[in-house]
Amino acid sequence: MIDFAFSRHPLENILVLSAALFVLGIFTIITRRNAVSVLMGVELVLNAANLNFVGFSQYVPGAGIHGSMFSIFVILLAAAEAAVALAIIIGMYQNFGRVDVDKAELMKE
Amino acid sequence: MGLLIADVSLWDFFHWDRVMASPWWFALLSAFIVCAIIVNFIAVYAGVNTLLERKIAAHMQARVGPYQVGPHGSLQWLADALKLMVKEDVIPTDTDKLLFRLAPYVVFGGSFAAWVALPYTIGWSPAIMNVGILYILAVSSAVVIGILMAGWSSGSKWALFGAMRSAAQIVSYEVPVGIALLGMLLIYGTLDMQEISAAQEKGAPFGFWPEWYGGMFSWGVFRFPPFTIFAFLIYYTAGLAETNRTPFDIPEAESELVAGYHTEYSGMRFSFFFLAEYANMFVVAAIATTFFLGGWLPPFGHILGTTFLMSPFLEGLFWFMMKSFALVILMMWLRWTLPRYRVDQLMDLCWKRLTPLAFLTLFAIGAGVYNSWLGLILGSVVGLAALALIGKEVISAPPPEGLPPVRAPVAAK
Amino acid sequence: MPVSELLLNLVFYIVAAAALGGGIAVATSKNIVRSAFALLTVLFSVAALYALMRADFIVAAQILIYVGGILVLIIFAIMLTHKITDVKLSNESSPGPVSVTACAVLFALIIAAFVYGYSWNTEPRVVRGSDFGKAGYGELSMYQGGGKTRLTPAGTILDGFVRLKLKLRSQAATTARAQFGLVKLKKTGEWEDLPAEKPVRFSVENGSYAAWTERERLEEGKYRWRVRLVDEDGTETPWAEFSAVKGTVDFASEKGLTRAIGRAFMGPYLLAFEVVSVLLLAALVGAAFLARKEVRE
Repeated sequence: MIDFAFSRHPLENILVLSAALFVLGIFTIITRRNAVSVLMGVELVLNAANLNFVGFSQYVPGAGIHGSMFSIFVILLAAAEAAVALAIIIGMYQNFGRVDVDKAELMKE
Repeated sequence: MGLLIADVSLWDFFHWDRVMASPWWFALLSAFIVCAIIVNFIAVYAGVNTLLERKIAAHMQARVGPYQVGPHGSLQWLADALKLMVKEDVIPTDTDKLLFRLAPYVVFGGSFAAWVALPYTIGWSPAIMNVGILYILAVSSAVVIGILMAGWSSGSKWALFGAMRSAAQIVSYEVPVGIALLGMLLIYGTLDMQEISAAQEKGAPFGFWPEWYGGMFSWGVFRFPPFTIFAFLIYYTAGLAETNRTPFDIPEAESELVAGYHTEYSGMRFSFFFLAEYANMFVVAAIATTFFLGGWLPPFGHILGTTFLMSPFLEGLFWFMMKSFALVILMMWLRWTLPRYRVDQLMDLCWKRLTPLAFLTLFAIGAGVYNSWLGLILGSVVGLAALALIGKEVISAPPPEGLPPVRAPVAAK
Repeated sequence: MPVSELLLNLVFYIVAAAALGGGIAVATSKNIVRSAFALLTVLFSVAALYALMRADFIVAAQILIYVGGILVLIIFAIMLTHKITDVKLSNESSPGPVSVTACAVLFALIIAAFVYGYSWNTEPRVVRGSDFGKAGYGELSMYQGGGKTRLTPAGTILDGFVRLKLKLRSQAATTARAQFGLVKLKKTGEWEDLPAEKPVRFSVENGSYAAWTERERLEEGKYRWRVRLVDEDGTETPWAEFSAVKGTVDFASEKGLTRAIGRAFMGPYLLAFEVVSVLLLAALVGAAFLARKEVRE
C-alpha cells in the first residue's frame, strides 16, 4: 500500500486522478440537462487531460516541456471555447426562454 | 542569537532555504506562524486604516472626524471593531446559506493569499516564488468569485446587480493592470518579486549605465521616462478600479445601490469584506512599490544596515512599508477629492483609453529595451509632447464660472 | 517511508480528495450555483496539483484563465439565464443506470490501458558511456527533481537538484571508487571546472555496480559532468568529460518553467502561438456578436 504513494510513484497517482476527473466530466456531460452544466463537464474533461499532459511532461524521462506547452494551449482554447459556448447559451435563452438541452431541438424555420 | 529550536535558530526564519530543509514539522510550524502574523497584521492594519480614512476625510472637509474615543479619536477603530464583533448575525431567510456564509472567507482568502508573496524586505519574503507576480495576479482573481458568491446568495436584486457590476469592473481592469506590469517585466526580465526589487538598486534611465547606483533614479519609474511613468499611472489607476475605490466605486455606491454586494451582510461577516478591501488596497500599493518605486530600497545610498536601523532586514521593511503606506494614503486622498464615475464612463475609460495607452507603453518600453538610443529618442519625443499638452492645459484659461448655457429643448417628433 | 515524504503525500492526497469531491459535486449537485462553486474547488485543486508537480507557470496560467476568466463567465451565464426570483436554481439531471455503468466501464478501461499497455521502464535511457580502461565500460544516466522524478540528460533540470548514476559491470568496481565533478559554462564562453567531491563507493544493483552522486541548489547555467575512477592505491583514470554532442550529459539548470516556455513559444511553437492569438480574437468578436440583444424594429 505504502509503495503506491505519490512520492514513490508520482506519475501513476496523477494518471489515476486524471482518469477519475475525466470520467466525472463525461458523467456530467451525459446526464445533465442544463446547458451550462454540460459546459462545466467539458471543463472538467479538459482539466483532466491537462493533468495528464503535465504529469507526463514532468515525470517521464526525456519528455521535455512539450506536455506543458500543450496544456497551456489547451487552457487558452478552453477559454475561447467557453466564451463562444456561453454566448450561444445566452442566445438560446433569449430565443427559447430556457436552456434545457433536451428541449432545444428546433431548427430555425 | 535567538531562541534555538531543533538546531535551527529562530533568526533562520529569515533564511528560508534552511527552514525548508529542516524537519517537516518545523517547516509547517514556521509557515503557520508567519501566516498568523500576517493575518493579525492585516486585521490591525485594516482597523487603523478605517480610522485614518475617516480622519483624512474629515480634515479634507474642514472638520475633525472621530474625536471621542481615545486621544483625538485614535481608538475609534477598536470601538468599531468591537461593535462589529458583537452585532447580531443576521442571515436572510430566502438565500443559499452555505454560500452566504462562505463568501466573505473566499474574498478575504483571495486578498490574504497575495500578501504572502510580497517582497517585504531584502532577502526575505514569506513565499519567494519564480512566478511571484503572476501568482499574485492569479489569486487576486479569487476575489471576483467571492464577490459573485456574495451577491448571488444575498437573495436581493441590489446585491446581485452590485456584484455583477463589481465583477465586470474588476475583470475589465485586470487588462490594463496586466499590460502595464508586462511593460515593466520587459525591463526586469524576471517574474520574481525579490529580484525585481533588487534590480532597481542600480541602473541609469534608458539602460545606459547598468552599474550606476542611482538611488532614487534607478527605480523602475525612471527607467524609460515617460513610458514607465505612464505605466505607473495606468497601473495605479487600474488598481484603484480593481479594489472598487472611488472614483470607481459604483458597485458600493451608497447613493445608488445601497451597499452593493455586501448589502445583506452585517457584523463580523461585513467586517471581513472591509478587511479584504483594505488588504487589497495594500496589495495594489505594494505591487506598485515593488515595480515602480524600488521595493525595499532606500531613496538614497545602499542598504547597508548602518544607515539608521540596526539590520538590513529592518531597514528594507521600513522603506517598503513607508512607500506602500504613502500610496495607500494617496488612494484615500483621491477618494475624498474626486467624484464618482458612472458605470459606462468607467468601462469607456478602461477599454477605450487605458488599454490602448497601456499597449503603446508596452511597445515603447519594448523598443527601449531593445535599443537604448531608440528608447531615448522615443522617450524624448513623447515626453516633450506630453509636457506640451499638460503645459497647455495648465496655462490656458479656466472654464467660465457658472452653469453651462441651457440648450433650447428639441421638439419631440 | 521517511517523515519528510509524509508531508508531500499528505498534501497530495488532501488536494486529490478536494478535486474528486468537487468533481462529484459538479456532477451530482441539485443546485447549479453549488455546481459552479464546486468547479471553483476543482480548478484550484488542479492548480495545486500542478504546483506539486513543479510546473509553476501553469499554476498561475490555470488560476488566471480558468478561475479569473472562464469560471466568472460561467457564473455570469448562470445568472443571466435564470429568472432572478429562483433562489435555489434547480439543475435536473437524468442519471440512469446506463450512464453510471458506462462511466464505470470507461474508468476501468482507462486504468487498464495504462497499467497493462505501457511498459513502465523505470530506468532512463543510457545516454553516454565511456571506457574506463581496465575497469571496463561505464554507463552514465541522470535523474532530476526533488525525489524520484527522472530525466535523461541533454534536458533541463528544474530547481537545481540532480542525481547522476554511473554503472559498471566489471569486477574492478569493487575495488575502485568513482569521483564526480561538474564543469560549468561561464559567461565568457569557457568551461570552468568546479571542485570535485570525494570519491564514492560502488554499490551492487541488479547484477551491476552503481555509484550515485547528487547535487542540489545548482545555480542557473549550463553544466557538464566529468567522471573518473580512483583505485584503492590512489591511481586515477583520466577524467572522462562528456562533450556537447547530441545525447550527452550536458544539461541546463533552470529555475522554473517560465524561461523554457518562453523560449518554446518563440521557437518551435511560434506558429501555434500566432494562430491561437487570431483564434482568440475571432472568439472575442464572435461571442460579442452572438450574445448581442436583437434590436427589434
